[in-house]
Order: sequence, then C-alpha cells, then structure tokens
Amino acid sequence: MTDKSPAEHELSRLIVEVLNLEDVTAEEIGPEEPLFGDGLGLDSIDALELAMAISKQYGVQLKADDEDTRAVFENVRTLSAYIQQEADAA
Amino acid sequence: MPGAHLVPLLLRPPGDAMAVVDGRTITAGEFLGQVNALAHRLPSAGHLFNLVQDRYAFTVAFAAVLAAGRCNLLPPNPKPDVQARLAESLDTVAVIHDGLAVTPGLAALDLGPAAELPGSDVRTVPEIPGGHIAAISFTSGSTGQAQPIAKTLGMFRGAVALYEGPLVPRGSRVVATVPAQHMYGLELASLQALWSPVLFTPGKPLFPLDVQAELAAVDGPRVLVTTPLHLRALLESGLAFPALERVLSATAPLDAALAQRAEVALGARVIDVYGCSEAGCMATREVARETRWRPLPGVRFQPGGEDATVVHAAHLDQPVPLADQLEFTAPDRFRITGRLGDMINVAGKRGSLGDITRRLLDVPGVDDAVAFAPPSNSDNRRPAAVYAGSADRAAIRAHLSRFLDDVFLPRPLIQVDRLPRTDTSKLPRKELLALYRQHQRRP
Repeated sequence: MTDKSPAEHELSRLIVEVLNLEDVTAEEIGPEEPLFGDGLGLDSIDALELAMAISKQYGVQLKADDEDTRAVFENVRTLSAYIQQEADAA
Repeated sequence: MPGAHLVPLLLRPPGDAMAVVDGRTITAGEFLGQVNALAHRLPSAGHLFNLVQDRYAFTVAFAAVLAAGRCNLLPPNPKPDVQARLAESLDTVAVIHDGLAVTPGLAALDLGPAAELPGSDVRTVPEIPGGHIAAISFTSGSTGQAQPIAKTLGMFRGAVALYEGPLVPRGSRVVATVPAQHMYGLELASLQALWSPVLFTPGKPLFPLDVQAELAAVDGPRVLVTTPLHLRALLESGLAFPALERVLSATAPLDAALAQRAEVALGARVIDVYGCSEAGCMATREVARETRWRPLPGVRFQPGGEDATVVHAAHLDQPVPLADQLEFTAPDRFRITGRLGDMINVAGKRGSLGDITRRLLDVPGVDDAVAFAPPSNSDNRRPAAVYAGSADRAAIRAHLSRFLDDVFLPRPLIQVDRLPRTDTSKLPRKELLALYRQHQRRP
C-alpha cells in the first residue's frame, strides 16, 4: 500500500466517519483505491453526503457535471488534490 | 370507454420552448421533428429499454418509442447486470442509451449528444390510443422479483392535467435532480412539457454547484423537482441560487425545519409531494406551515380500515392500493403514520426487505439473516441487516451487489453469533433495534 499524505489521511477519516463505513478503517483505504464501483462501492447518496461534509470541513464545493470533475472522485488522492487546489484558489 | 380515444403525443404550438439544451432553446416543432426522425431509427424488434441519461434526449426517445407504437421499459437503474436480468425475463430486448455501458449481447442504439440529435421536416403530431401501454417501470431494487408497473398514455396525459397548476404552474422552467426514468422525474419534467406550456433542462444535477449551474441556464419562474437529501445539500452549501418560484420535494417526507430554512434561503414555496410509482403524485403539503397532507384536486383517498387505503382519480384506470398507512383527521386532510408490510424506500427506490433477506440467505457462509428498516428517527434510511455465519462482510456485500441496487446494500451489516429468534422463530423488531443501537455505540 502506498503511503498517504497527512491530508489524504484526514480525508480518509472523514469518508469513514461521514459514510458510517464499517468494513474499512481510514488506515485501510488505499490512496488510489477507487471510491465508487468495485473499490469502496460508494453510490450517489454517499457522494452527496460526502460533498456536504467536504464543503463544511474545507469550504470547497464539488461538481459532477463534466468528465474532468468525475475524475476528481476517482480516489482519495485525486479528491484530496482537488480539495487542496480549490482551497488554495479561494 | 377509456383507452379508445386518441391522445396527441404533443399539445404545444410549434414555436413554444420545450427545453434548453447547451444554451439553445429547442421548440416544440424541432422536438417533434427529432421524435419523428428517431421513430424510424429504432431497433426493429423487441422490448426497448430507455436508459438515456440526458433528460432532453430521454424525452425524445420516450416519445419516439410511442410514435412507433412501442413501449418504454424503465429499469430501476442502468447497471449492466440489471439490464441482463430484466432482459432474461423478456423476449428480445434492445437498449436506447447515450453512451452507457450496455450488457454484451443486447442490441443497442446510442443517441449521441442531445444537442446533435438529427431532425426531420415531418411535423405531424402522432396520435396514439389512450390505452396504449406507454411505459413499464420496475420499482423494486431487488429485481429478482421486481413488480413491473405499466402505465398507459391516457394515464400519463391525465396526470399531467392534474399537475398543471397545483404542482407545475404554466410557464414554469423545470429543473430536476431526479433521474428521467424515475416516475417522479418522468412525469413532472419530461411528460409535463408534452402537454403543458413548461420547459425543462436536460441535466440531473447532483451537487449544489451543479444545481446552481442548471438553474442559471434558464430564465423565468424556476421550479426545482428534487428530494429532501438534495435540498439539504443545497442549504448546507451556503451557495446563492438563482431565484426559484417553487421547490417540489418527493421520495421521502420532508422535515418541517428543513422546509422553513429552504423557504427563507431560496425565497421559494416549498411543497412536499406524496406519491407512488403506480398512482403518481397524489397529495401535497406546504410542510413549513402544515403537517397534514391535502389530496390534489381530483384525487380521492378511500381509507381501508385494516386493509390498505386505496386512491381514486379520473386518470387511474382502477383504484390503486397504497403501501402506507394513512390517518385521516378530516375528509381531505391526512397524516402518513407508517408503512405496510416489508417495503423500504431509499432515495426514491422501493425495495422489499423480504427480498433482501432472501438474497442474504443465499450467500455462502451465511447461516441465518434478516434485513430490517433502521429506527425511524435515525438519518439512516438504508436497510440494516443482522447475520450469523462465517461469511465476511465484504464477501456478502460483493454477492448482494450483483442483485441489489447499491442503496439497498444493508448498512450496517451486523454479525452476531445467533439471531435473537423467539421460540416461534420470530424476530421481534425490538430485539433487532437493540442490536442496531448496540452496534452504533461500538467504539
């Protein structure tokens, strides 16, 4: 398993906490493990819950309406990078 | 007799705006040309799954299927496995889509981008018998025993007439966050625009920023067709939204406090809508100010005592029994007090706890199991489950996800040594909820 940055680890903790995931701990979520589909198996309800938590925690709003932003949701690493980038731009 | 009369597929002057696609207004005449062009390109035989995700292109396909004298099949979700399972139960099947994964072996027609749909100069309005089955939707998430719900064109036409005004005022610009295939989104956006002077947008915005952009794409009195979860996300985002005339919320009861916040923050009337796939929208309440529901004009509820309440309306060919328990406090005011039987509603999808339990019991290494509804006062609307056996949760989830919609995958999935069965093998809900609470409190 690749090492996660502190920011990626914090985001993993948020995901586990907000979505009430019980099969995995934050430590077990790989930075490049897919969040949706065959990875963690999240769905669109999870995506919306997660978006609410991210906007509260980081003040960053997510978007889903184009291919680029769908890629953002690929895994913890891409999502964390996006949050960082948006937070810096704000 | 109902059903024999002809229903025009479109009742809009040719110059009327139907939709705004990529910033361009599409008129009823253009829409009709595209419908007539597509009607000739449809796969020639078999049942047609309309899985088109873009709401505008979906509507063109929906109408083209009818113009060709065929029927739209609307699966609960577009997963290839779900397509395959439904296809098995039907003769031949073809899929109409706009860039989706299609089950290998099924014939498919990819419509491509909505903005580039080919048109035609044929502007005649197809007329179709009111009794023609226009759509069959499958509501249960546990599709092993999905109940198909068939609706005729006459039923849809009648529903739109009922909704014009009380739900969707003439002149509305409708933005919906629910899928085009879901009965609620289908009727209030796509079909409303066939027979009532409203226009809709093609998207299904998920996040608040997406909703903001979709609303900004139209001018005029906007109506947002959404759910409590989407609405809560909008409010918590703290974003500013374009002026809204009205918010319609359905699929789960809307909380009064949330409705009050929404009315202040969005400046819109917030209307909670009570409906079901079989009967469509039936009653409303302005939940910021009232707790009880009022039937829509023309809808009549007949309390059933111990039996199910049934709903009557002119456009329903027969009375529809409801899965909810209603308590009438006046002839035209009621509360929803509970749910009959084992149905569970998650994100507008309806599943059977019995089905989920049966699927759980099929998993290798699960000796005993039951799915149940979480406490009604929790935020969790998904089914919970308790099981005994050696199977691990990931394996169970992997197995179930082949058959169940993701929203019905039990969460939490609680492993115990033995289920709290009584002498008569029953599982008291009280015991299950105690396990649930114990599990929630775990470190």
